[in-house]
Amino acid sequence: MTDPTVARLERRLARERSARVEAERIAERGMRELYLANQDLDLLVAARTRDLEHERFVAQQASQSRSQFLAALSRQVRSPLNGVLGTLELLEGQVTNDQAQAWVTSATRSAEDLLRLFSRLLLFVQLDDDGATDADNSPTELDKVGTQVRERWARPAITHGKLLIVDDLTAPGTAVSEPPGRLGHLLDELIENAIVHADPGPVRVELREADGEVTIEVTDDGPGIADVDQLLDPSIDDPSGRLQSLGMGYPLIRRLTDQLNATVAIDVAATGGTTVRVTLAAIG
Amino acid sequence: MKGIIFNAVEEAVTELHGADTWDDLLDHAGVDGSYTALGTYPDSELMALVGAATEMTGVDTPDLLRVLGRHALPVLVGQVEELVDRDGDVFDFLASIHDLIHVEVKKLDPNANPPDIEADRLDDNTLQLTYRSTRGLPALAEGLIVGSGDMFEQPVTVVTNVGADDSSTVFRVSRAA
Repeated sequence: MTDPTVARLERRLARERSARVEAERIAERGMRELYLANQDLDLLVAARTRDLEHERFVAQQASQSRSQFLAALSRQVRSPLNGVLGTLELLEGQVTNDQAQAWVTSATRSAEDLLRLFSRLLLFVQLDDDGATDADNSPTELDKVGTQVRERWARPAITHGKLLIVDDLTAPGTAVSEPPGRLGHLLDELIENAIVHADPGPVRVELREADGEVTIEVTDDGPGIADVDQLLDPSIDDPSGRLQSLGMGYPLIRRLTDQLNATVAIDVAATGGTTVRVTLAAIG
Repeated sequence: MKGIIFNAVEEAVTELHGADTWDDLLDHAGVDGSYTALGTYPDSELMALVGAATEMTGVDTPDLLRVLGRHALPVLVGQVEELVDRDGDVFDFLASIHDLIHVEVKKLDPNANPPDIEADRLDDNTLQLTYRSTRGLPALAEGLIVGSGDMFEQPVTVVTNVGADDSSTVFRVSRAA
């Protein structure tokens, strides 16, 4: 006959063994389920990654196609437009009638606006594509900037009844690291805006250097814009109509400044007049 | 019901009355008695054990459950030791049971069905816990609350009332003077 104490101990041992076996079975099942869940998760992540990569590829293709189309459109339109402008110039010399002369002037102005718009479009697309518009990545010498601004904008300013004043107050040899092409695009946009859209009066371009920084200011005496924040935001209302009349001008300025190591500040004087100030680090 | 509850009850019975009593209780209840903390077992087995204990001792079932709950609490807390600040406040612990400890229980077993416990601090010395469970074991819960006070060495007294919706039980927990 078995000792009752031994029998109890044997029963307890049996219970413990049974509990242990069950615990192992549950743990193994849990680990197996965890493994399978991980497998499922891996497959899901892989599938989602493939989907996202495909979507990114499709988006890139669409963007590239759009850019190529816009660039081609811009180039193809500019050629005949230049032909139109050339013809209008010839016509202007032949027309003596005042009314006809006014029509030719109007047509010339419109063709120039259109040409400017397509030039901006092409630049915008180039910036959108890779941000690089400069074959020449060398630093920009400031004395050349002053000269180029005079050569490029003195005549258009007079055509629009404005006087262009360029003050280069920088020391000889002063330069900035930004390449001349991109900086030139930015200045062209700022100066053209001032010449075309500001009130009659001087447009002043001033280049200064102080404390290792170069400041380029473009000032006009136009009415300014009520909310300065609107200047660099193409998506907002434009009650003055000034931004709307610029078309792509300010979005382009914003894109250009984003790509320059520059800060841009805009001051609108209470008495009228707007100053756009671009500050860059001087080198040399 | 989670196996850890059975483990805790076994430890409580063994601590209070010895291992032989647990053996006898299993025999009397007619249950196998091999429980692992990882497993889940029929609620009826716990009720069979409590019923057997009532028959063997003559003590009312609710009173038995209170005693078991009070002594089982440390075993249950041992399972979630890292979540409990034993130097903390017993009210903080009780208020965190549902949102902290029961969440951990669900992580380990999504099919687990822990009771719903809603905590309201009435004042610095009074905490109201509203207990809802399909198992209907408010006496066990009351014992666990008192056991919490023991564990934190911050004794509490509990006044139990039927909740407004009849399916709940409201415990008004006060710090013992």
